[in-house]
Amino acid sequence: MGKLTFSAIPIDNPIIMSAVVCAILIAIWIGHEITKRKRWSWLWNEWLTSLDHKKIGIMYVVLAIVMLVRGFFDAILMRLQQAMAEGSSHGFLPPGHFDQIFSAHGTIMILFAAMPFLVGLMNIAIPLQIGARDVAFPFLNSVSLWLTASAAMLVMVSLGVGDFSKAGWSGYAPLSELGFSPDVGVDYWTWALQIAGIGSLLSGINFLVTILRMRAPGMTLMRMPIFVWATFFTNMLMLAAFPVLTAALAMLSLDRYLGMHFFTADHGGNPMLYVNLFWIWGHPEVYIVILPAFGIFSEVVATFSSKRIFGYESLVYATGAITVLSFAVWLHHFFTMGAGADVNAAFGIATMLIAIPTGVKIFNWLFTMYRGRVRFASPMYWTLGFLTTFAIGGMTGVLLSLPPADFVLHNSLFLVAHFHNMLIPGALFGYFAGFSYWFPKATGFMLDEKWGKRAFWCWICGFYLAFMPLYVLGFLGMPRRMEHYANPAWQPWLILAAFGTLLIFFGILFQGIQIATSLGPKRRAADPDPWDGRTLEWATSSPPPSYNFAVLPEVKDRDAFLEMKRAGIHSPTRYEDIEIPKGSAKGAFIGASSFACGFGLVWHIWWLAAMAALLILLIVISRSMEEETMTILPSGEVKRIEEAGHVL
Amino acid sequence: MSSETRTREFGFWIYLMTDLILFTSLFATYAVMAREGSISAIVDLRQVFLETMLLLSSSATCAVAMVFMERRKKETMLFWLAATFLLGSGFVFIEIGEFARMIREGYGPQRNGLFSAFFTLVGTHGLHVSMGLLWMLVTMMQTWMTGLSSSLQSRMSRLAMFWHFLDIVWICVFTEVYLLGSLS
Amino acid sequence: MKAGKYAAGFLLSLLLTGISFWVVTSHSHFREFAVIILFASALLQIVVHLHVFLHVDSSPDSSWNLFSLLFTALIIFLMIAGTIWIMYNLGERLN
Ligand code: HEM
Ligand SMILES: [Cu+2]
Repeated sequence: MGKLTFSAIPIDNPIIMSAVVCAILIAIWIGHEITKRKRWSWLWNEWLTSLDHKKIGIMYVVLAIVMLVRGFFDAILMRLQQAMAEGSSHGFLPPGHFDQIFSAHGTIMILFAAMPFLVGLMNIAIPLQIGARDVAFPFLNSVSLWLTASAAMLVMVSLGVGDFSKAGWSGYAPLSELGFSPDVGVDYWTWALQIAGIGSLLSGINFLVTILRMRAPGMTLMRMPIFVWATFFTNMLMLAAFPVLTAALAMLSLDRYLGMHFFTADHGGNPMLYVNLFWIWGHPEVYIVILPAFGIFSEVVATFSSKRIFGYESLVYATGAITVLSFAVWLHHFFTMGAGADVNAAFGIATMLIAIPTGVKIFNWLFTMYRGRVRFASPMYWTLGFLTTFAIGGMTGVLLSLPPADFVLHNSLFLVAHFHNMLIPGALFGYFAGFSYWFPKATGFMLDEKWGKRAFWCWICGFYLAFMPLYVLGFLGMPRRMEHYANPAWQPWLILAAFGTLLIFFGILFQGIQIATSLGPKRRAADPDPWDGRTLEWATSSPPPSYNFAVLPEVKDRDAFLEMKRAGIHSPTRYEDIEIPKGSAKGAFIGASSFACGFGLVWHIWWLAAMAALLILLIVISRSMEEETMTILPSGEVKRIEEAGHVL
Repeated sequence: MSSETRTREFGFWIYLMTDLILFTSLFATYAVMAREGSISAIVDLRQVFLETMLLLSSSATCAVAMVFMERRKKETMLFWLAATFLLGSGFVFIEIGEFARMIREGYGPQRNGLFSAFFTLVGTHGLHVSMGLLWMLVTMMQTWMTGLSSSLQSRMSRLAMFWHFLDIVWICVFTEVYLLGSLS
Repeated sequence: MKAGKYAAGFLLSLLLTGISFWVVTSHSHFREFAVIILFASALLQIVVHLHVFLHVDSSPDSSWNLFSLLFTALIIFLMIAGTIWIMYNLGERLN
């Protein structure tokens, strides 16, 4: 069994063991409920093996929410520890454990909460918005989902079997090299990132091709909804950035497994090269998580202001400019590494330039609302919360882009405050806006507004309380990643931040209640078009049928559905047969095998890794030999579904 | 060409672009490492030239196979594909021999950062060629058994794209690694 | 027709490869000159390959292929140039 022994399970650590036991109990309870309701075959046939982009999207979002909660519990632990561990008190987390927690938190939040969330929303909305029946490669879509899920599983397993990485979410070498991190933690981290990275890459290909080749007749590029544009550019970023991460992590693994010297401190290795490669991916990555959210805000602002988006073209060009510029600024993450003033100045200026297109967008949203008839539904709450809060984060970002200021603030809690100030309003609030905006479309039920607004207020107040103190702490000189400190002036601020985190906890709790009441016995069915929408996803029933559109829509305007509503909607006179993809279990099997392969590699169980890799190869070959991958839905059936749908 | 085939080819093209960026990272790494030393003492340019000829010829035979595929001449196409396969295998064979020799002489990937980068860059290309060979073998067997269905044709043309693409990567490899490295 | 194009492409790439190897093995040139020849012939050979074997051209059918290629080329340029600039600068300051 390679390096794996029973001692890898930390039975002597009460915190980890209670988390593990909790997770196992929840899994058993879910399994029990499914068995009691005899839902296993339904779950397998209708969901896990489905190639329907809407269902894949929902599964992505579920994965994201589960991982968000996990990442948030890590955050609570860190906040509690830092609120206590001053001077003679050492809190409850030993350093090695604290290090694993911040590494897991950062990794999970970015790669297993934000990424699945945005890919899930893309899945739900993109084909509908462009008037397509599916994505370009439905099977590949399922493979992406299961690769992401199996990578997330690898991170979860590291909780109970062995350790997770202690080298931070960025895994800087040489700390992440074998000499300094001899346990399996870094290997869990690299393989999880590798598997998830391949999943994201495949999604990127899929959606780029979908957007370029599957649009409904009449939908020219300049008629695409802004969210489609945002997704388009996001995919370009994913495709250009992720291969660099793959390469950097592969080199790190070669160092660790085969004794090579890419990033070691001796034998001509170059640790700074790792930092360079990591941020070539890392900076675009933050735009990957934020651009889709910008797209969602644009849709929400236009819909709830009942106005055409202001400056459509400038929004598109601004997004394009951000896409290219984000590949020219990566050095700002290591201004202090020792490059000369000329290098630092060039990258500092490029960084400041990015603020311009971002500022353009802020004005687009403001002017869209200006003199609009703004309706304050919960998607709009998230949007307004974003606009106000994000501006602060953006300004601190411009501050950090000045190398001299960065030399002071780098590696302090000021930085932690800054990037949470970007990521929570900029990315997370955007996904929440999208979640509440498209929830009726995806599930067919309205999302409870009362709990949604309560959750919003907890989140926004909690955010300010939890993160503004960190700016102060940064100025007071507190470095990030501290498990213990000896400066009494810091403690009050950290206690304040812990209270903020408690408020956020209530926000998440209320979101849970919101989802439960919205899907529970008192649920309310949603109209096809509950928000008086402007784009094509609202032209289908809620939830849409498997084929989305019985007759492909003819697009005549930028706000395609609004224009249709003005012209008067006629139900079609005749229906045709529709080809839809058959479900396939092979995506799930590929995911399971990659998990086994990753686990084998982490623990040096070579036979397991080799067999799993071979299995993946065989599954891919057998899929390529399958002939009947599509099935025909006869026109009579389509007619029946359509007529039943309109009664709803 | 059917719309479905075009979509698949475009998707595959995008994949090739991402692969290009993967190689970019390795080339950049090699360029950084090459600041510290040179491999010129232990490479044999004659062997590299032979490898290059094999790969270029295999690109040509692959293109010929595609011409016969479009004319729906199954047997002739398979013949030219088999030739491609042999030339490609020859390339991999020589490369493995070169690697083995270098490791024997004490210039393995563990020697220092430069050699790690050398083996990884050249080896990643070699691994791609090997995957291409495997793909070729599977496709040839399928064609042999079931005939030239349209889905096989479309797969074959993507395989050809992959093969020509690897040539482009090789051009960069022999230019940056071998030739530039051998300039005094 | 197509076969002729392939043959021309093949011969051209043989020629360019020959030039590259010759420049290095003949040992009779200034280094800068050799480097320029090497890069020029590699670039030319890549273009030949893209056009002849990968059918990249300016027809509307392959406009997105061309666009994605140009975008990739831009990103590759930024990555390589940036990395070399940063890392060589660091290296010099360390020495
Ligand atoms: C929901 C509320 C959140 C809280 C209370 C929170 C709290 C924290 C804390 C306490 C740290 C460690 C700071 C230190 O180094 O001293 C941290 C680090 C980090 N957080 Fe969060 N966080 C939250 C959400 C997020 C989200 C949504 C993301 C990303 C999308 C994120 C990404 C990160 C990253 C990348 C790090 C750095 C990890 C490292 O040092 O390697 N966090 N967070
Ligand atoms: Cu950045």
